[in-house]
Amino acid sequence: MTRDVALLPDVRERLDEALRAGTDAAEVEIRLEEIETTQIAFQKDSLESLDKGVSAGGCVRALVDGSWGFASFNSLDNLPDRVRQAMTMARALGPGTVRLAEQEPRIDRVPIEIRRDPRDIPVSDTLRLVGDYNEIMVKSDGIVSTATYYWHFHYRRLFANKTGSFIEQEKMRVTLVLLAMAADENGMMQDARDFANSLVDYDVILGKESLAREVAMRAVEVANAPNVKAGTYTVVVDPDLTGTFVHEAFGHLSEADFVHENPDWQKILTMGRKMGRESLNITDGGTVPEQGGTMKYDDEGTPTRLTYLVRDGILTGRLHSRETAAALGESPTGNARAVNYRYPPIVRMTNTSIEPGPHTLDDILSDIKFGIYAVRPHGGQTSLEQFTFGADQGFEIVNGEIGRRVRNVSISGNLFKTLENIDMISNDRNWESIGGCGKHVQTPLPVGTGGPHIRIQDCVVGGDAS
Amino acid sequence: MTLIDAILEKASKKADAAEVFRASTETTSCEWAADKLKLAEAKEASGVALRVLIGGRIGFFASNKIDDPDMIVDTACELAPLGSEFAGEFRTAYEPADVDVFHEPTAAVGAERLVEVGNGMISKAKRARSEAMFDGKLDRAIVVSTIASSTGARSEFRKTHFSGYLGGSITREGDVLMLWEYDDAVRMLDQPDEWADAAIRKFADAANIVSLPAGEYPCILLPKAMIILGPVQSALNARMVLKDISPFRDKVGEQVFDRRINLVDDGLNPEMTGTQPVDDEGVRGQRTLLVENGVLKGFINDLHTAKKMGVEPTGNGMRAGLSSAPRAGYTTLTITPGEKTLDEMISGMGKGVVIDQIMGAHQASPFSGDFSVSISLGFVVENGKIIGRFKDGMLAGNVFRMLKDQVLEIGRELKYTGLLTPPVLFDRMTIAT
Repeated sequence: MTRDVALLPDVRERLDEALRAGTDAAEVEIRLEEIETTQIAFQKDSLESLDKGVSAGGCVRALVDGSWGFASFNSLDNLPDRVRQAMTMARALGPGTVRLAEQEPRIDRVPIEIRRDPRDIPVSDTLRLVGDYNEIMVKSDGIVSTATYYWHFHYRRLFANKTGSFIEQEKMRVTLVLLAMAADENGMMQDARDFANSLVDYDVILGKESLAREVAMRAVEVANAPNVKAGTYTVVVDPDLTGTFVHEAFGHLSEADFVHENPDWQKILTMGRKMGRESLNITDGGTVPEQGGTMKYDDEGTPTRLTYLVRDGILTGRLHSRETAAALGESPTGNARAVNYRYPPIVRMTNTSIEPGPHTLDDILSDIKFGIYAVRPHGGQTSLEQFTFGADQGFEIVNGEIGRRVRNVSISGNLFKTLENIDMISNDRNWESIGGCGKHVQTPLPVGTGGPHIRIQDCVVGGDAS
Repeated sequence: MTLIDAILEKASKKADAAEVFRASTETTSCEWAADKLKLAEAKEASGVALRVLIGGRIGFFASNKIDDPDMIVDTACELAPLGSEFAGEFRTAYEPADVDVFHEPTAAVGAERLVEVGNGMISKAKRARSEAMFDGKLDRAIVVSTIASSTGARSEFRKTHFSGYLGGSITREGDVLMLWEYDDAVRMLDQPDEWADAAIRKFADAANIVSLPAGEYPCILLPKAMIILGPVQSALNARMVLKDISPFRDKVGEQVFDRRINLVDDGLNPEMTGTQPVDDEGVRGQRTLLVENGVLKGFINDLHTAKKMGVEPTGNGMRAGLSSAPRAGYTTLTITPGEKTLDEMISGMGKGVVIDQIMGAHQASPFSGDFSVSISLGFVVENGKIIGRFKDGMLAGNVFRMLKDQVLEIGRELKYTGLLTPPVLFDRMTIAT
C-alpha cells in the first residue's frame, strides 16, 4: 500500500521558483521532508512513555564559487529567500575549491511497497502487544528489571536540484527491542537483549513471546557467566557481528570524504592494494533490498549502486558523493546521505557486507584449541586505522566446540592487520538493519550490515587481567 | 492569540491539566576539513510539545507543523487514556532560579566572526604541525524556550550556546595519530585558541611511540576518558532506582565511593549549557548534592519520580529533544575538583599511564559498570614525565569499583565532556596490549 507523497500543494512549481533564485550558484539542492515517529517504552512494571511526534521542514544547499552554504528551516514559506540565505552563507566563506561530478537529471517517484503499515495499527494494539512481551520477561525467573521498546518512523523526502532532478522517496522502519536484566554476583545488573525490525512490515514484531522468554533466560546466564580474560585469541565472529565489524573497521575507511583532500591517506588506500586473503570480498550498496540503507537515490539525487570495495582481497573501490568523486576523478556511487533535513549530505555507507566464502561454521571451529566466539553487536567505533567493537554475547571455543558463556567481550585492533588475519569465511550470510550509524553529529542514520561467520587470528580481546 | 495560548485554551477544555513547551533555535556554523574552510550553515528550528494529564495519565505529542493547534490538542488527548501513569502534578506556578545563561556578545557572533576565529585556530595549529591535517567546526546557537501551563504559569528564557571542535591527524603507513579537542559552553571565549594549544602540546607528547606491556598501572583518566562513568550517571537517576536497576537503590546514607568523591548536579553553573532558570517541566533550577565525601545523598528527580520516591523534585526534568517527553536527566553532573594540577599529578606518579581518548564507551555494559574500551590516545609516564604514546591498548575495569577502591588523586582542571570532571588518577587499572 502506498500513500500520497505530496508534502505541500504545487510543490513542483514552488521548488522551480525557488531554484530560479539560485542563478549565480553552480548547484542548488532543496530537500523537503516530513517524519512521523511513535515511541513506546515499558520498564519493569509499567509503561514509561508513549511519545508521538511529527517533524517537518526543509533545507537548501548551494555551491557558490567553490564553497558550500546551507540553510535549514521548519517553515516552507519563502523558499526563494532560503535559497538566497544558503548562497549568502556560501559567500561568507569566500572562493573555495569544491567541484561536483556531472549528474544526469532524474525525475522519479519511489514509493515503498509496505506490507503492513504501522501507521494503520491502533496504538492500543501495539501497546498491548509490547506490554505482553515486557510482562513475559518481568515474570521470568531471576529477572530483576526489564525494558521493552517499540518505535517506528516514516518519512517522505523530496529532492530537487538546479541540475533538473526532482525525486520523491519514502522510508519507514519498525523496531522492537527486548531487554532483560538479572543481578550478577555483586548485585550489579547484567543484561541480555534481542530485537526485531523491518523496513516494510509491521508484522515483524508479532509472535515474539518465545523470544522474550529466551532473552530473560539469557540475562540470567549472562549474570552467572565469568568475565572474559584479556588476551590475544583466535576469534570467530557470527554473521551479525561480522556486519558491524566490516561497517566499523573497513566501511568508514572507504568513505572518500576524508581521503579526497588527504594525500597521505590516498597513498595508503591506493586502488589495487592487497587488503586480505583471496576469499575476502566487501561490498556496499543502497540497492540491496529492504535493508536500513536501501534507497533508490541518495540525497544528492545520484542513483545508488552496488560498489565492490574489496574484490578477491584487493582494494577496488570507495564510496563517493559528487564532490569526492570529482576530486578523485572517479564516479559518484550514491553514498551522499543526510540523517534528516537539518543536515547536508555527507559520504555514508548504505548496506555494507563481507560476501560469503567457501567454508562451513564447523570447518571454521574444528581446529581451534581455545578461542572466543563473539555473537551479535553491542556498539562499535573507529578512528580509521584503529577500530573497536563490543559483542553482545561471548562464548569460549574449546577443542573445536562452542563452550561456556563469558561476558564483556570487546575486541579492538588495527584494521589492516585484522583484515589480513581473517583466514576463514563461511558460506552463510545474514543481513541486519537494527544499527544506526553516527558520523560527526549526524546520527542515527539507518544502515544495513551483513556478513557470514569469519575467523580472525591473533585478535586482541579486552577484559579482566589474566 | 498566540499559538501557546490557543493550544492551552483548547486543551484545558479536554484535559485535567496541560503544559506546552516551545523551543526555537537559531544556529550559525562553520566547518573546516583538510585545513580548509568547507561549509557555512544557518539553521532555524522550532516546534511545540504538548503534555496533557487526563485521569492521572500522560498524553504527549510534539510537532513543528504549528499551523493546526486543534490537531496537536486532539492527538495528545487521544493518547492520554493509553499513556503512562503520572504520579505528580504539573507546576501551577514557576519560580525561576536567578541565573543568566544568555551572553550578548556570543549571541552577536555571525558567520564572518566564526570564519575569522576558526581560520585563526586552524592556521595556528598548522604552523606548529605542518605535517598534520586539521578539521574543525564552530557552532553558535541562540535558544528561546517557553513553558506554559493551563493554570496560567509561564516562563520564557533565552540561552546562548557555543560549541565546536578541532581535530588533527598525522597519517603514516602503519601509524595514524588522531586527536581532537572540544567544548560546549554558554559563552564563546577563547576556546578555539585553547584547542589549538592543547592539540600542539599533545602532538608533541605523542611524537614517540613507546611499547607498553600488558599489566596493571596507575592511570590518569583525562576528562574525555571519564565518559566511561555512564553507568554511575544511570545509577544516580531516580528512574533507575524505581525500576530496581540502580545498584544504589537502597544505599542512601551509605559510603558508596571513596571519601574524596563528591558528585553534584550543578543546575546553577552559569557557564554550562545544561543550566536553566526552570527545567523542561517548570521546576526551578538548583544544585543537587548526590554524593558527599563518598556518601550517597540522593538522586536526580523529575516531577513523576519525585512524587513516587516521596521527595522534592530536583529540577532535572529534561527533554532529550522536542519529540521526547521530559524525564529525569542531568543539567551538569560535576565531580568536585581537587588541588593538584595535571602536571603535578603526572610528575608525582612515577611510572604510569595517562589516557586522553578512548573508543567504545557505549559498548560497555550500561548498568553493571563493567567496561572494556579501546585506548585511542594514551601516554606512558616514566619518572614523572610523559615519554611518548602507546598504541593498540585496551582498558578494562568496573567504574563502581574504581570510584570506591581505586581513587588515588583528583585533579584540579575541570572540563565538560558529558560530565564536568577534572582528571582523576586511579590505581591498578588493567591494560591489555
